[in-house]
Amino acid sequence: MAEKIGVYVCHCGTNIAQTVDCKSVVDYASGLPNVTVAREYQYMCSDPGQELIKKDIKELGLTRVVVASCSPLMHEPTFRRAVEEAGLNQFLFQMANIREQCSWITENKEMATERAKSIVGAAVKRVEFQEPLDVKKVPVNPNVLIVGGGITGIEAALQIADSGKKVYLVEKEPTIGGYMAQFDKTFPTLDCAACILTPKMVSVGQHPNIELLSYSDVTGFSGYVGNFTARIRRRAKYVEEEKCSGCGLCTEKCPVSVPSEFDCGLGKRKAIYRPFPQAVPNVPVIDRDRCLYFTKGVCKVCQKFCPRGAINFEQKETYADLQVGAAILATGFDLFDASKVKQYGYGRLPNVITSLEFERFSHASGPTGGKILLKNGQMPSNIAILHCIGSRDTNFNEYCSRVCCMYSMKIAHLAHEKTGARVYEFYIDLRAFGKGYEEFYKRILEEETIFIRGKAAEVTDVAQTSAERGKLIVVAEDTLLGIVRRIPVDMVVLSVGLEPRKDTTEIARIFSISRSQDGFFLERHPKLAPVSTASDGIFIAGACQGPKDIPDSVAQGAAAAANALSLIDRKEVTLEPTVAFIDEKSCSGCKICIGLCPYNAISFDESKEVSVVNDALCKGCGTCVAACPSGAIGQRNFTDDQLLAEVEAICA
Amino acid sequence: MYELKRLGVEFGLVQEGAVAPVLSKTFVDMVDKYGRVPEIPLMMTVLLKTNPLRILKMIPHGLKLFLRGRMPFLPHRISGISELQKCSGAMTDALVSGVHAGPVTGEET
Amino acid sequence: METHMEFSYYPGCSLEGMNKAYDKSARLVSKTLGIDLTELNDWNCCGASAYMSIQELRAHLLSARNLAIAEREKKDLVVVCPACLTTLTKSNHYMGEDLKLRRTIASALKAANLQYLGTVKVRHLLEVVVNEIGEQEIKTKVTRPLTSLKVAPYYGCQFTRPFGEFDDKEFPVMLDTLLKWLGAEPVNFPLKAKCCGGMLMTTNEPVGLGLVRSLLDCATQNGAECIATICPLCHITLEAYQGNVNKKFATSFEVPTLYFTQLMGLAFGFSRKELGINEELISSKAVLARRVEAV
Repeated sequence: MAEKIGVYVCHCGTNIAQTVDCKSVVDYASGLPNVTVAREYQYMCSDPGQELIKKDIKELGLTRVVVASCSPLMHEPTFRRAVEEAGLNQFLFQMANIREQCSWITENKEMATERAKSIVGAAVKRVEFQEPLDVKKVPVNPNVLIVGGGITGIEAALQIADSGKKVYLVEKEPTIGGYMAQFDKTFPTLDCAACILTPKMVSVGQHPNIELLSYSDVTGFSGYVGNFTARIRRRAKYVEEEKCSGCGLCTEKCPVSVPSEFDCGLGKRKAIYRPFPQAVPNVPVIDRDRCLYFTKGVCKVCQKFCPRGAINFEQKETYADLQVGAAILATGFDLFDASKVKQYGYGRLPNVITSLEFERFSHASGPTGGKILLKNGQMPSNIAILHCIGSRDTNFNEYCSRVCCMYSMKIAHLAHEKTGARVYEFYIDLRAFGKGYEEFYKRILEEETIFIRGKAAEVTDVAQTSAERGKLIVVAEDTLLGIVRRIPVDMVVLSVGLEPRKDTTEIARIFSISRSQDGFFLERHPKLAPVSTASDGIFIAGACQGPKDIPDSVAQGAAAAANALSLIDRKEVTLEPTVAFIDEKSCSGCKICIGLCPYNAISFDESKEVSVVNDALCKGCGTCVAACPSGAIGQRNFTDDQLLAEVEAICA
Repeated sequence: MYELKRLGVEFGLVQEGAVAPVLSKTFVDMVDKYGRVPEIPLMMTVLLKTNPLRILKMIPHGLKLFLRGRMPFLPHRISGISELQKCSGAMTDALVSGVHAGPVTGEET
Repeated sequence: METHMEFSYYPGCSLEGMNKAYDKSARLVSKTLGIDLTELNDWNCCGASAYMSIQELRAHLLSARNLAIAEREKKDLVVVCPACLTTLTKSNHYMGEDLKLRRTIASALKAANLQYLGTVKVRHLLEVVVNEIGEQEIKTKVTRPLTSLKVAPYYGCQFTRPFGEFDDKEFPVMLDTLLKWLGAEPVNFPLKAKCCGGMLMTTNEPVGLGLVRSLLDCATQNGAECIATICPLCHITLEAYQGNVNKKFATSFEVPTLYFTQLMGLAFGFSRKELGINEELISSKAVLARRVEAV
């Protein structure tokens, strides 16, 4: 029996109608075989638009529907829902994209209209071959994996754990806390970072629903939404967590002193160490590359003194497989390496430091006990803060790192407070966009900070006058005055930008998510879905999605938690049935498809000697379909008949 | 940057007494005429046009150079000068008849 | 192991007159190192920055003619002047990227039966010596090491900027390295890639003198006994105006300036006369006598 096809051409306001002659397309469609009705409407996705379709299905007994409008990515779900509501299987619907693939790519009206007709004709031909399909429902595992224990990961973990669900929080450092633990004060409130962070860290450590896996990383991640398996590598701390009381005696007694990463190399730590005193878990780890026992077979002083016998040099690295329903990546950022910009002399000239190094100087438990000191031990009387190092720069990172203007002003405040020095800020623009930020800027102005509008060109130690001798001279064009200035200072602070972490490539590979051009993880939609990714069930939050400050990171952490909870509370998820299927009779058992599948969705049935597709893992990418030399693999809703029909129609 | 210099020269927007445009224009004349630019005649011409008194100040320098055999007076005319001039001419004709001038990212026309 | 490389050689206008010594010494040391330099036939001025300031397309044409002739010889082009390096490389680069420019120049070249297909690479002799000849070979040729000679290696603006991917743009080290291979001691010279003023000495003398003063100051403060140059304009600027600098700033500079090829030649055993050092404006006799035997 012949199908009854309804064709609906959308104007999309002027998006389509401005370029494509919709009436002409409707007329054309009306003339195609098996088309019962063809209509046009301003906004097909709106309620009245959808009503048109539903009404026609009920009254005209339509058996197939084609909507010619925008990209399926936009409204395929909308129209599929409408079709289902009218009683027709949603897979008997086809979308013809005459916007992104037609009206938006040319201004030539004749060409666009002809092309639109071609696209619609192809969809009409294809839809005849479409078959009803049923969506599959799978249960959702209520556990959540959170990768990264900085402020973002902590926020997400607490939100989810408080709702009663179990959280696995994986952190690769020995302690959670992230960069925030290294800061002295936070803008604009000038809260002590540790004071607001540590209570949250303690909550995480004590929460019955959070299993904290520190000094661990994710080495594998497989499965599909609601049913993921994560492989975690638990590195050997050589200290047994359950026995350790956190007394710190081992750290005291250890004879080996090495530069501390937490202090940016400015201070020292021992070979057995906690990154900082308020670490969670409050358990030290042994750095085997520096430990005398591991390198030379001697010492073991820590073991001798430990009152609980918690030191275990035989401890081995272990692996754990976790079953979770969703994952949140909150892996954070790295700072731009200032030594790449030779003009500023970082690493070459003394007293040129980065913003984070300044934070460590300023911190009460930092290498100088909270004093800002030059290499010669004296306090600086003039400090220059250089904005936009590595950011807004075509030579390095083109984007703006968002937080540097604010933290630069915070540094100016701390500098004033601790040294009474004269502070210069060399800026391009001042970005004080958040709540209380502009007011903070005003305060810094009132503290007599000198703002010079002009990115610093270079920092040199070659003096031109006697006033410059022995100083660091910042050379910059003062664009408001229109002259080049040379400002002699004692210390230069480089406001370095934020970059994606170096292991981002690896993490993206493990979780199969994409990255945007700047290297940060790619969100599903920049405006409307900033914490989801293209992979269902995997969410991103915080600085790993893009540079941002603490309030925004916390907001995203909570948002990702809400997304994850929403997924879990659904109890089951629907899977798209447009997956590959193998015709057992045609399969020759060559196994070519198995190696090609990027999702490891195909396995081999030894007894039948044929390949089998796991419906739930298959994402419908079509690789195996194309590769099968026997033509044994097909894809639902993308069958050869359907695709060839499209091609035929276009070539006609 | 160079475009600004060119526009300045073309529309006469140069500072009173500026030497640089004179230097550039003299340079161009010499290249167009000889194909190479001898430094001393170039300097002399420029100074004569802008600050003749400086020539007097330069005499001790000039003497030193002369005594060490570093003073070329005569411009070397390359044998391909007419060929170069022909090429310049061909380019000007092409520009006049409408071939686009100057670096603009182009498409295959 | 005798290296043998063939290049077309583009001396540039400034080597014909005041800086013949650079040409002489460059040819001499190249021969010793097995670098065959054949002067580009009937080359024309590259135009430097002066021509581009007046006429853009004709400026590119000047480069294109030289490149076309070089391409005919099927050899890469070696220059000794960074301004020529920048100008020729710039035209090469823009013609490569911009189809319209390429076509305009191509049709102009056709009037003289010339064509340029973009295959020629333009290189500075210093870069060729350091990258192609290398430490081993150079050290074998050193018969008279410049032991303890403290040299300020001066690169000037245009050696690494904007097209120099072969060395660090702000703090290049190629010349420092070569000097070490010759036995000399390159001093720390933070202004090594800062401008000497060049043409500014003619167009704006006070600014030019200030720049030269900074360079001389920095070099001598860091213990340099002489300055090594890789650009004829930098060389003459540093050499000829020390008197003027002294008069203006009440200083007493008398720093000999030598081309890197002259320093190489000395290390290889050639005489002052052969290398044109006797044509210098500030005598290097005393400095060299202290450090280099039997010069």
